Amino acid sequence: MSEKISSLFDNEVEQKNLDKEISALSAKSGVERHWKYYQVVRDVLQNNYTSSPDLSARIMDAIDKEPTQISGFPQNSNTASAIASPLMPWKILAYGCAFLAVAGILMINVPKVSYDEPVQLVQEDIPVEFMEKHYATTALNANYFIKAQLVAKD
Amino acid sequence: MMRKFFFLALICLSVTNIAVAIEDPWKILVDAHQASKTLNYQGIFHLKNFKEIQSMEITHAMHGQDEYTRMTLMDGEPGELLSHGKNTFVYHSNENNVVIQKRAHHHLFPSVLPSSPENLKKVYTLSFGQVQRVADRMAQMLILIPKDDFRHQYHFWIDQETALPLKMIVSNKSNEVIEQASFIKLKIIGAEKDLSWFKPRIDLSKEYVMDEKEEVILPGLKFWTFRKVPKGFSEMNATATRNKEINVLSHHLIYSDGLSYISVFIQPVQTGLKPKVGSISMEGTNVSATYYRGYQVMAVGTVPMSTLESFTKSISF
Repeated sequence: MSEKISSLFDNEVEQKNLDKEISALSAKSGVERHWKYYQVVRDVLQNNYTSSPDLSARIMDAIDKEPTQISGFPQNSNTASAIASPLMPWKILAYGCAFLAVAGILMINVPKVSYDEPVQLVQEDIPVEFMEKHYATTALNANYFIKAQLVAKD
Repeated sequence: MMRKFFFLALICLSVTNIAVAIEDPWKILVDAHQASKTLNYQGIFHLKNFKEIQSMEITHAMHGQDEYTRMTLMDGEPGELLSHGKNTFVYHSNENNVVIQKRAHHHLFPSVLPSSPENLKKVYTLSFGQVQRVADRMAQMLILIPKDDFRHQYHFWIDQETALPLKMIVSNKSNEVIEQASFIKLKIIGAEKDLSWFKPRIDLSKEYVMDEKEEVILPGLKFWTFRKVPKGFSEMNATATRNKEINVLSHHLIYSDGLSYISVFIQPVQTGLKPKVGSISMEGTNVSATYYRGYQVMAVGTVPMSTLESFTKSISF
């Protein structure tokens, strides 16, 4: 069965037999799953792999995580006149809300780092994660394969 | 009679030496780089890292202007590498699934030599060794000895017929072998028209999953400097990964002199976690760690510890 799926992906099935082969495969259980695997492998080989199916959700998630832009907007004449006009109470309230929102975003995005944590000797807790990353990008030997092994999702 | 024989032997020896002297060993390294990239070959080589030995099968071919490589780990859990031009993917099987990872590049044997030897000339001296037999082929040994203490020494055995590297040994100052790669079987093949071999072995009993990371290239966002980068090493690559838990970036820099590679990691330490300091050697790979102004700075590489400490001790921001 796997050879037939592979042949379909490699365009090795004759056009006249195409419908017949697809129908035959569709009737078998588990084919959908296998079809998906071949699709992933083929897309990777052809450098067409984009992402998992829920691409839009992932993009929205990534946008949510981006820090908010708080500077760099060009100032036009309307903006200048608006700033020059007397401040109305609702404007003061709006500025206050905006200030609190920006302060909140900044607090979320500022690294929560500490400058006086007690340290630990590297011998006591071997930094496997860093070594894996190093091997996955630079190893001259079989350690190059180690990263994929360790991040595997069971 | 004896005197005549002696003179004849002396003349023969001199002619051999002159022939060797005329040939530039650096040119042979350039030819070896070219051969590893442009020849079509199939073979099996052994990789020895510290005490562990693994076998790897390789098929390498040019198809038009494109370079195709497939490497398969023969021992332990199945692992495969498929590389087409600049696109490299690793397939690694475990109990339940096959994880596919995209990699930026690879430096796996025999493609370990840089395209230009100019940087190597600054930090290594190169000399000829003996001619020896490797994988049933005659090979010229080349020895790269470092001019300083910031890197290890390299021995290469270059195929006399094709210039392909057949064997490599990385050893330290005490001549202890750290890494070794050596063909045990090699076949040079003609022009490759059929690319049917360029695909992974499919195991339908496992799920195929793509390992996707939120990794971004961030040129120009560097906030650090190193006061003392060891001679010959320059930055080859810089990537940043977003740390999901604290929403800040972790940086990974790669430095190389053309043969040795060093990773430098710079990432903020999360509150409650202890930063690591000190150094450790593990099977030929050294690690030097320091904690600087809220950041964990860690250098990793198959180089002497002093090389790594040059980075961890000289960072400032």
